[in-house]
Amino acid sequence: MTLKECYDRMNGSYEEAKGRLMTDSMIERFVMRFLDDPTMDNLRKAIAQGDVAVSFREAHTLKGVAANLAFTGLQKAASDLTEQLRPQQSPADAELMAGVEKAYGMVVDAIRAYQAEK
Amino acid sequence: MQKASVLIVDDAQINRELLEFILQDRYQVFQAENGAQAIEMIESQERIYRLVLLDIQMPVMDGFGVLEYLQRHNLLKELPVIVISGDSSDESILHAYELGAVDFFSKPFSPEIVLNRVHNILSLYEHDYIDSLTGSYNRNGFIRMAENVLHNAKRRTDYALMFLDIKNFKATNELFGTEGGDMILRDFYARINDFWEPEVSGRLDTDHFVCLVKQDHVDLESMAAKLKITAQLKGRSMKLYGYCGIYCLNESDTDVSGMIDRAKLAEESILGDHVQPFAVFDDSMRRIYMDQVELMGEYESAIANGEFKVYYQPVVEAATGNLVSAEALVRWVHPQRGMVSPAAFIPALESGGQISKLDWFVADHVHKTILNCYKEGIPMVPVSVNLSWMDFYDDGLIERLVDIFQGNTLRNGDMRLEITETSYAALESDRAGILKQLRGAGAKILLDDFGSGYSSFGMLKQYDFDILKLDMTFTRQIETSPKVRTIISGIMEMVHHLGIKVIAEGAETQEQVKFLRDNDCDYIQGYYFSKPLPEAEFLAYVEKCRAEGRLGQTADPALRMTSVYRKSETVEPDNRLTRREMQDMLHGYRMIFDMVHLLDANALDRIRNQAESEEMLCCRCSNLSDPDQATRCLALQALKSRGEEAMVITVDGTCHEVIAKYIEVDGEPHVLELLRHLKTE
Repeated sequence: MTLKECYDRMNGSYEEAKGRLMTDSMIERFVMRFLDDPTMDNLRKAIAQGDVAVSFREAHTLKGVAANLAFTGLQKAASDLTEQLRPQQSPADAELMAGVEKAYGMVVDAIRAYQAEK
Repeated sequence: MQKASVLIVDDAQINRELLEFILQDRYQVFQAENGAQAIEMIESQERIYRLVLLDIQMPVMDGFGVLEYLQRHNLLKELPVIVISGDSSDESILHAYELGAVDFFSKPFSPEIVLNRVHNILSLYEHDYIDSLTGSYNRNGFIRMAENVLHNAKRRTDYALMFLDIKNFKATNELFGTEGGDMILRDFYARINDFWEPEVSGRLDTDHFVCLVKQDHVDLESMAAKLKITAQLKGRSMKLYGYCGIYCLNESDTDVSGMIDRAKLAEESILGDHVQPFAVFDDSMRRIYMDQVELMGEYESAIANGEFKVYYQPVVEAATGNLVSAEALVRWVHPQRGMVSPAAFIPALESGGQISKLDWFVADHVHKTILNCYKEGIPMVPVSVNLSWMDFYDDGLIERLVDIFQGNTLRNGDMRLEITETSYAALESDRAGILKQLRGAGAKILLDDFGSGYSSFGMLKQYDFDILKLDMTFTRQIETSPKVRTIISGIMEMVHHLGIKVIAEGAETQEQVKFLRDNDCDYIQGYYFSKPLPEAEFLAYVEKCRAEGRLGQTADPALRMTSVYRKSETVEPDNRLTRREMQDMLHGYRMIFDMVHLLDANALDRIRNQAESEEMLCCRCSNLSDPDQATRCLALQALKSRGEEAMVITVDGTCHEVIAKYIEVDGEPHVLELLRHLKTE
């Protein structure tokens, strides 16, 4: 599997990642790091605890990380959730969070599949 | 130079690493994962950050918290913050700007935008601490960085501060132009870094460099050799000599500025010495330094308390000994120390930038004294007061001076301004215009200490002034040095050609006075005639001179020689030039030769007379060891042959090529003298 195929599978933009990181080896390095990134777990925890402020912050962080790695699908889902949480008045919308989970799952699956073939 | 330190503050590790990846080639990158950690790092003084890239949404302390803290502690002036924003539409960006952020970029990062913004912001802020010519730190930057190194040093006693300058640097500017001079400065700076691998290095001004080094990098054995530099420029090589003052730190030292002063004091103790062009700050210097520091602390109140007194040293007409003018000098009568030598406080006031107050005190006092003499009908002579180059940067003082001269309260020329050639050299072009303004307002300008600096002859062509004061070091060597005698008579001749009068300073013996008289010196100042006198004594002295008929100058007895050379028809057409063409040609020659001198008919007359009286022989058949004599002799030959004459002579192992070329400028015969040192390696 090529990195391009990995990005296609997760609904990301390989071209954008390439523009930022220049080489495949750098893209690969950062993409692999994403598997250890704690932001998604932190977001899940904050939502489970009903902490709206932290939920917003973690969603915001996840959006930023996804944007930087050009995980377009995840970025979009995280962005929607961030905007819903921004007023910090109601807890995370379950449907939007489900969208984030789905997009996150696609990203992780694609990376694992890429990793398995290496 | 070390890469600038950039601090990235973001809670997502991937974002931090991505930014570090983008920036790491050009900057030294550090990371903090929240605002509180960032502030701890900034405040720790472990290093000085040049820029912060700051995320807004973070746990523990967010970006706004960081900005508020930096603003409250007045740190944003020196430490710019760029906000990394989640999305550019955020109202939070507006808020960040309000809190003092200078720029923002949004995620996802584009490497080009990140690099450009970081670069732009850093260069905007760099002016405060970077010297744009060499890329080294300037005074500000050096002090900050050195303080930082010392703050983190295990033992301060491991360090030394070196103050370096290039001897005769002004002359290299004359010779190679500013561009060449700049190249030499960059080259010198690079060598400093190579030789001593300093922790921090910087350029304070012109050719003054400083560096903080580990003491074990400073090997005194090899110091002299390292300070001898051969610069290569435009295919020519030139020897330069660096001077270095070294201050070894104490454990208790914290004030970097004070360390610089001490290293500088050590550097200033070296007197024209090529054998050991460096000096280490020692106890005797420490006493001088402590004295200076103490005196500077008392200076302001001393002016207010009237501890400064104006003294007047008479200047006499050389031919008659008549009193013609005076120089106002300041004396500090200290309540405890008694008379403080000007040498002890004037240099310190100058380097501390505090001289202007004192200069104004003297100028104002002298002005009032002269006016009082007018009022009371007391006889007085023109008095000159000293100005430092710094005075030209004090707009208030200049305005008050112009007022004095424009106020029509003074009779023409009764008050004069003395400016040293070093001060002239320190003036930037816009400030030099002020001198014209003062002259236009009726002030006579005296060029002080002529010959003590490095660009004396350049001064003559560059600036307008009325009287030249020959530095006392010349006068003092009249008896002992034949070379100095030759130089003095040469200066008189040249300066008189320019229509400028000469005052010789520091005459102490009858022999000196006789020599100066015989060599057409116009005026003499020195202990031989009188020491500087307190005001009342001086006024009495003027009155006494008047009563004895020794006041004021007699008619100028100087006789004009007429030229014996006539225009010749045999001159090659390309040797006939207009004045303008000649100037262009001189400019060209100055790029190539170490010395370029155009002798006009009068100058040639004098050389001829001198040659006849000394029975100077033709240089081809005599044993010449003096390039000046050779050049003069060759000039006469060129005049005779109406052509070009050249020779090579060796003095003290250095080869000189000397050329004399006959030319006609606007129909007048001239000889162009050219001299260059040849490489002998």
